[in-house]
Amino acid sequence: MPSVLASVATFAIEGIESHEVVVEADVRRGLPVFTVVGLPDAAVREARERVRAALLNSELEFPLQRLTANLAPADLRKAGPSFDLALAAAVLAASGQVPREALARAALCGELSLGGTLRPVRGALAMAFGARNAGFRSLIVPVENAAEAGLVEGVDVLGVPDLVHLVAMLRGDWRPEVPPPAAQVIETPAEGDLSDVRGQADAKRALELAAAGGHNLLMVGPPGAGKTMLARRLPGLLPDPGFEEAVEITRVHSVAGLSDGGLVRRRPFRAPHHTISTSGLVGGGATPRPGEITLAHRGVLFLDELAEFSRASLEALRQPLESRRVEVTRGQRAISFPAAAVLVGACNRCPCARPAAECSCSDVDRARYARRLSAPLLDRIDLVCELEAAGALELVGDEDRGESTAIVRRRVVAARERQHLRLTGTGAFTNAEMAPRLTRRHARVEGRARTRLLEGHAHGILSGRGHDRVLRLARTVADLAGRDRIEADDVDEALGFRLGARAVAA
Amino acid sequence: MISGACDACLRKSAVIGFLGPRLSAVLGGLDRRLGSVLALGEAELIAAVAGSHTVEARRFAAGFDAARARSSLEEAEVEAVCPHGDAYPVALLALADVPPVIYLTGGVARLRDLTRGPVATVVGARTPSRYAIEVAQDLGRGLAAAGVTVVSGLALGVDAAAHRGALAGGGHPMGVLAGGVDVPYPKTNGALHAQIRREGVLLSELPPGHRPLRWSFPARNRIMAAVARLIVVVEAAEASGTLITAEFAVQLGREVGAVPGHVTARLAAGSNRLLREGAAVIRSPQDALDELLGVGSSLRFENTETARFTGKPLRREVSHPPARSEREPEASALDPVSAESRVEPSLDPSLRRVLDLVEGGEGVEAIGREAGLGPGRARAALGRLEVMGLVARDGLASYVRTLSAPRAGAPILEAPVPSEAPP
Repeated sequence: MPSVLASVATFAIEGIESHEVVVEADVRRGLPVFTVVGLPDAAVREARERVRAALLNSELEFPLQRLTANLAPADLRKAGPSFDLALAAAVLAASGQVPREALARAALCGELSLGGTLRPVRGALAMAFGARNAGFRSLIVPVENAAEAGLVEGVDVLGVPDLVHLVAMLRGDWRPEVPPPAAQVIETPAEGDLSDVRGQADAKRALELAAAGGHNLLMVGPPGAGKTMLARRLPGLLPDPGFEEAVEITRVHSVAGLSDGGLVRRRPFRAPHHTISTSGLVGGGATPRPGEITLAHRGVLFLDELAEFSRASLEALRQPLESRRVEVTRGQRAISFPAAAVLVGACNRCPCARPAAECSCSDVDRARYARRLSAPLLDRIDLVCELEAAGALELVGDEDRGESTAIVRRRVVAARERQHLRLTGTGAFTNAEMAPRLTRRHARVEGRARTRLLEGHAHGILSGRGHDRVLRLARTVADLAGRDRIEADDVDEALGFRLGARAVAA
Repeated sequence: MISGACDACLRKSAVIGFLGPRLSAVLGGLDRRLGSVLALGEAELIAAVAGSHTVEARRFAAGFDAARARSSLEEAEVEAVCPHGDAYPVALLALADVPPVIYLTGGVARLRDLTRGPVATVVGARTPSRYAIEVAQDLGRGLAAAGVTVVSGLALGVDAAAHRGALAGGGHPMGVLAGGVDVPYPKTNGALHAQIRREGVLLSELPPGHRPLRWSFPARNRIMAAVARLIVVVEAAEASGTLITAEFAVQLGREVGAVPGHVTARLAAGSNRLLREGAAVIRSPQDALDELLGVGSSLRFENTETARFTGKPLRREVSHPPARSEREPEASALDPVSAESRVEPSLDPSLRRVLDLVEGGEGVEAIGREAGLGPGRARAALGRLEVMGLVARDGLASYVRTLSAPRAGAPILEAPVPSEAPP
């Protein structure tokens, strides 16, 4: 019984990682049916129709024989349309329309249209990393994904517009243009200048510290004081991501389908509405998708009206804020998403949201409002700053504009530079990311500064976790001032910005 | 004379408990007729309020078994005293409607001892300002430390703060409940209820197991007013339960004092009105002691620790100090809370300026502006003051001046600390 077997490599995306998947196609005599096995989801099963139509519309042959395709390993769930191209290639190879050797050291991914053109897929960057790590010589992708996948060195990325060109390439008749190495740079305009917000020196200082050390921040103040405006200006204060960070951001955005084909050079700013679900915020779902905190990776996650978010969502933030990763377990598989975002929360001082002089809320009301934020979450916020209601004069007048984004950014970049020198090779990018061991090594306090911390403990405004967090924030204060030594004043300021353990528990 | 409660009184008390829900229906909440109804004899009371339940109430009264009531009290570890016994708080006899039975925990001996010494009631709003909580705690602590029995109603807010202060001052606080003494109400104060049950005395006129009812709150207030010689209102809005206590106190001829609040504060409108009407101004535990015992008096425990742990009667003595000129100027926990003595004299001028601004109710932004400090500097000053225990966070944002400065024993202010050896 004559039967022909061909196998082609592709990648499945799980979280932001890619896993190699081998597509085997078996063609033998029998009734002309096309079966796909190996834990495919609906989109993958539908690939049969797309592959058939695409081949025929490209004036290629679709074998009228019994056709079985297997996606191995069979225990990995395969979702989405990115397997189309590999299935088509396997069929072409099994039916002898392209030389099988041409596919031996190549991996493919791409979605097919019925006409045979290729459509871009999500996670091309992650697949390129997977292809390189698995030792493939080349990765064949839809031409729109070529620039993004081309960011990975060590694997030839071949951008193909349609099936006709694929066949020509595999037969050695056509060669795609190699994408430009540094890819295109997507530059979104900065969101206004810091000097647009008048006054609010306390909040601006907190913002600068958050930018300099990657600390989480909570802004408390009446509506209209400029909380959202300030939060939107935080990404502009941060240094541009380095290549390594930019690739991390691109990878996440590519998997989420937010990338438009190049290296993301701007830090993300995500501001989900407070009605968001828990899995929308931290990631999850039947086929785990990254949540907002992952989409804000290396950027800013802004949660306005923090107290209005569901309790479950806020609780779910705790672990990612601590470990800077989200761990999602589905079935037997644990999937991990990066989540190193700076959290910026905003809320009112009390439920009535009026200025202090007109507030009618009792302490109990206010305590209840604060409790909605959950003590463990507040404990992970290093900076709590206060905004005052903007007076009419401040809105109209031109004085008291304060420093521009450029000036503050210069200080932030210098402070980050110091951290970079100190932390290179430790896995941490900022002071806020320092593990306890690193904290003890790099945020040493002596003399009066140390006495301050001991006093804080003695008066119950510092908890165990709080101790390290105050140290890290004091480290940032010193870095901004360009000092190696942490002074007592730095500790005082860190203590002043942090909501004490007692206030959190109240 | 008996030390417990007599059968007739137990029966009347049980009937009141039985008629509790009917009393609610007849009296409603803050009703001034309360006294006249509760003063009725047992039969008249049934006739007056039982309504359609008259037959059942009569049957209940007839079927009352004093022995069984006593054994169930024993089971609940609750004691009872009635006016015919010698342990009944004499001060309560001033009421027109003397509670037939006072149920209590903590022991008859302790009750007798506490009610024979000076007693002060500290009451106030259930949702007070941070300031009122600080003051109530301070009053509780100062009065307890001076040997005064601090009475309050175990409600949220000022009541709880006063109790906590009294416990911190090493006293045996007295809690008067609107329900049975074994029913913690509100539940939030469960831990405090348990602690006072252990270390102080809980009182109620309702038998154990009864939930508090609408009428029983003002009823409880009249006991709080009667049992003490001085009633201090820390913070009360107009038309509040606290003012009912003050009203009872005036009717009974007790001293009424109030803590001044902001004249613009809605929460303090009632207590400020009391001051306007002639209530004593209470700024500190010492002011309360002056009202209670005469100017310049102070009370002291003798051998406090022994008394606390053995449960023996506390021996107190009132010492009348010599003429004012001869007194040594010594600072104590009883001094007015706002006085300079609270602030370390060595406080840096810029810290003091910030402290004043906090006291003036300014927000952080305004503090930085007014004190001429850079943004980070204002926070540093506040952090420093917080560590010194002079200010505290007020909820999510801003700071308030604390009145309860840290204990003298704890601070390690500016102590030389050996630096860590490098690893």
